[in-house]
Amino acid sequence: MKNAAVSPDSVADVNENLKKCPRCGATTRLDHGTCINCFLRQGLEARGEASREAFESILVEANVTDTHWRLGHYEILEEIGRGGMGVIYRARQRHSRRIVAVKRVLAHQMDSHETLVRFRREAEAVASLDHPNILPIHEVSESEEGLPFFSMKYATGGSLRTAAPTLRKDPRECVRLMAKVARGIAYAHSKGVLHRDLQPGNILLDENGEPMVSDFGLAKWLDQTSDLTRTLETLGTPGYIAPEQTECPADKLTCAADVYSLGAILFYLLTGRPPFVGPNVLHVIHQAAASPAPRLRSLVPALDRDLETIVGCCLESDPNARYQSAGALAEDLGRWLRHEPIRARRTGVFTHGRKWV
Amino acid sequence: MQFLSVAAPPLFRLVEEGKNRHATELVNAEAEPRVFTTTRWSLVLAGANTAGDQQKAAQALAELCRTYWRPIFSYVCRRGYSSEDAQDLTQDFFLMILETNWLRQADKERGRFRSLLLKSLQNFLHNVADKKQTLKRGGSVEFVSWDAWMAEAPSHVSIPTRVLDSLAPERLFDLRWAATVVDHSLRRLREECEGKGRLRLFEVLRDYLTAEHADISYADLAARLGVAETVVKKQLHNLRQRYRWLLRDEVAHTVESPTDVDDEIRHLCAALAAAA
Repeated sequence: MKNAAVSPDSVADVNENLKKCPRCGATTRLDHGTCINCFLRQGLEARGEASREAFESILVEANVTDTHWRLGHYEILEEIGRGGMGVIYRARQRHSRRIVAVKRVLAHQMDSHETLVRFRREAEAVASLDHPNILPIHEVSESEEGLPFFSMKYATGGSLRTAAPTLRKDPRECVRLMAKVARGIAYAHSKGVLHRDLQPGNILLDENGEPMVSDFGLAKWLDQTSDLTRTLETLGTPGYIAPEQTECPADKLTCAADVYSLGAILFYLLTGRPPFVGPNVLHVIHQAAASPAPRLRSLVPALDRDLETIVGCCLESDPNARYQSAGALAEDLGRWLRHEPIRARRTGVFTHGRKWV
Repeated sequence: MQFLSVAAPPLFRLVEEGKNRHATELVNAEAEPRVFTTTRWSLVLAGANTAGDQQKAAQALAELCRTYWRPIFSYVCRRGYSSEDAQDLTQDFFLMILETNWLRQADKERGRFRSLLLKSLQNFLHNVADKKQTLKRGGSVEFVSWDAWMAEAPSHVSIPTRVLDSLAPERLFDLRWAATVVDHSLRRLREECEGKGRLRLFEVLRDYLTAEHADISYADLAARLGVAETVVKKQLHNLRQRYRWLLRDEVAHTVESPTDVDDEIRHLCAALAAAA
């Protein structure tokens, strides 16, 4: 269940608000916190022996073993996912012995009491969502160190990302799964919660292969925190985020942004790649805003034309031209599965031409 | 498309295999701590001579390319190629490096792996432009898997826009190289701690590896870890020493002689200073 906030890295992620390192003045960071220059200069400070044996013999002297590491009522078993923002562990609930996933935010991402309060409020809102296709959050709590974390169902079936190579051979199964995901998203929207970072790694599969959306709504607070965390990366995963997500203030986004991501995920499942790819978030977003998404059948000609129309409707760069709700998308996917006429209409060459003049 | 899974020769099926490579790497490194006499780059250079072990040299070169592909890709992107073309060009470049007598044809002055790789990349891109070669080559070879790239949760380099925009491709290459060196060193340290059941210790102390003594609240850290302050001090010192060694080991693998390590680090620091 590698569902940490994963996104590709190549050139760099731009960050308008990076502060200079207080020690060296450099502005380039690794994972938003590590000053590359300071960590590199450490190499010039090396003195004495530091063999692995010597290092480990001192290391094990510290009585801070991971096996007794607890977060609240949970015993941490192993790390199963990691991203720039947080870490996910497989853990055991102490009394029920139930195996769960525990997500905690990295210490350097939390810089104020206000942030902690906001995180907790948001996580509690997400925890109130109750839908078979949304990963249940069991508990929102704080560690002894005062860092917030939450526990959730441990999904044993991996994610859509890990299942994608197999699913690609079965377009109907891809559509069936995404129809369920769209229903889960529609339910969340009805409760006033946007996801904003839907991507294949965030759609987990339970033991029966049924999809459950995870990491719900968390990006919403993450990009409102400190300067260091306010980067394009926190806006979502390149290739799956709607083009308007860079320009629109967080509170102005609509459900159309999630509809776009749902279409992008279906595109990925059916073709093996997201609609737009690029060296960094900004590049991908520029592409998505500047040019129409490639047609599904330009990559896989054997796919059904109606499916191409459905995906194309999700990926319109104009939010108003997309499905008006995730529910409408779910219904059209249902129609396609039942071999009924779909409601979406193809965007013609004329429309495309006019749109991009 | 180049991102689809394609059949690749064994030499190129590297991304997944590379995940736990540090275990063997470190065993070898431990044979001669702090000496770094047999670095990957020195193996490669030895392989270029008839007396060297060709197979070991090829493996060492592949390992280096696998580690440092991101600076290559960043450079190609920065030169104005689309990301898709840059992916293809990166794959083709590595194919050229790994399957031809690249080193024998390269500048006889040789030098460090980083500078030689950059120079070769520049020549490679120049030739591509000269010949107007089509970039649509069918994706028969995949050195770097897009899916694996997405899945391995790489560390991100964050940089202000104004700085990124002002960087020449060569500086960006060096910056990305420096980030790779630091990232790999930290990952190795993390793996070693995890291997001894001290991941939590690493997690708590990681951010303090470069901190000044006066900036560290040992009492707070001791409370978080549930140990005495003296334990925190000892463990932080231990982690720092080991990290420094690992970083020098990473750098040593890219230079011919151990005496070049300091110069290489200083060069990379200068590249970072230019990006300040």
